[in-house]
Amino acid sequence: MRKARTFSVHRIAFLAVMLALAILLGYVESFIPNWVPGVKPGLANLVVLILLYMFPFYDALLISLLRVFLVALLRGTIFQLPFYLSLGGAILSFAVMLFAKYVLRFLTVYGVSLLGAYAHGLGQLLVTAWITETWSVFYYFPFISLISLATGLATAFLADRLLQSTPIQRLREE
Amino acid sequence: MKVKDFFQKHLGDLITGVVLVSLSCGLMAYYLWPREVTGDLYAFVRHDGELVIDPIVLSGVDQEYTVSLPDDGVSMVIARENHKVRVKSSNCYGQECVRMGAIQTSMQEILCVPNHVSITIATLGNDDISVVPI
Repeated sequence: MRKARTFSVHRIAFLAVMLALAILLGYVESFIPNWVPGVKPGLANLVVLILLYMFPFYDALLISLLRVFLVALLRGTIFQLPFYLSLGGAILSFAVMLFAKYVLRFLTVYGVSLLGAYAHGLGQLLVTAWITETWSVFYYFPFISLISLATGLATAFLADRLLQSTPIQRLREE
Repeated sequence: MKVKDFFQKHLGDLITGVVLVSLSCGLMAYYLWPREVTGDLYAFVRHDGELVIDPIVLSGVDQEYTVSLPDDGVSMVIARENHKVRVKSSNCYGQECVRMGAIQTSMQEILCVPNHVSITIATLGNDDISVVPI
């Protein structure tokens, strides 16, 4: 007999809180001016990273995609350029982090975050290249990727601390 | 002992970080390395990969060029000043292309993503990556 998928109240509540946090971080981030075009600190990636280590990957994917849609809805940019850039970055970043976590077993949250941050910038540039129909946009990649690596490291540090915190440890044990 | 444990635990992360930083630095060197240029440099203004105005020779006198594509909602003014080009004004939101400032060497680029416009520098007939549309 097929086993029904169960959700604990704690889990649903935690996912809802994490979604709210991801939206808040994404929304705040959208107001940070771009010093280099396309570069954002990637604060919302913190939430996806934590979820990837706590729940099955589809929960993290769901929150990541919902975050992109809801932030775009809040900003009034749904199905416009910033939405597609954000979606491109989120999808590639998630795919790479998933691969890193489940295949590259020698990496900890730091390595996974660094690869995710790197892929996020790459995903955004691929969307930009598709829109502007030129490969020359990759001129920006070295600058964007170096900044992404710094933000990825900071995100990983925060995620590592949070994953070791008592409330999250307790939730993981449930 | 703590340092040894740290390196044992994070060796994979360190190697990944070093590889990614090296890759970025290598690409940066590739893009910023000075290149021998024979002949005049031109600015190529493209919309969706297609040239929309004649290439602008950088060595000319200061002048402004208007890029107007009413069907695509594009209205930009590109200025040649002191052998450099920059976007003087644009109808895009964000105005990132205006803030990018002037460019003057090959491989440099100004992007206006909302308007689908790219400005690259190259010599005429150059077939490097900066002038090859997808």
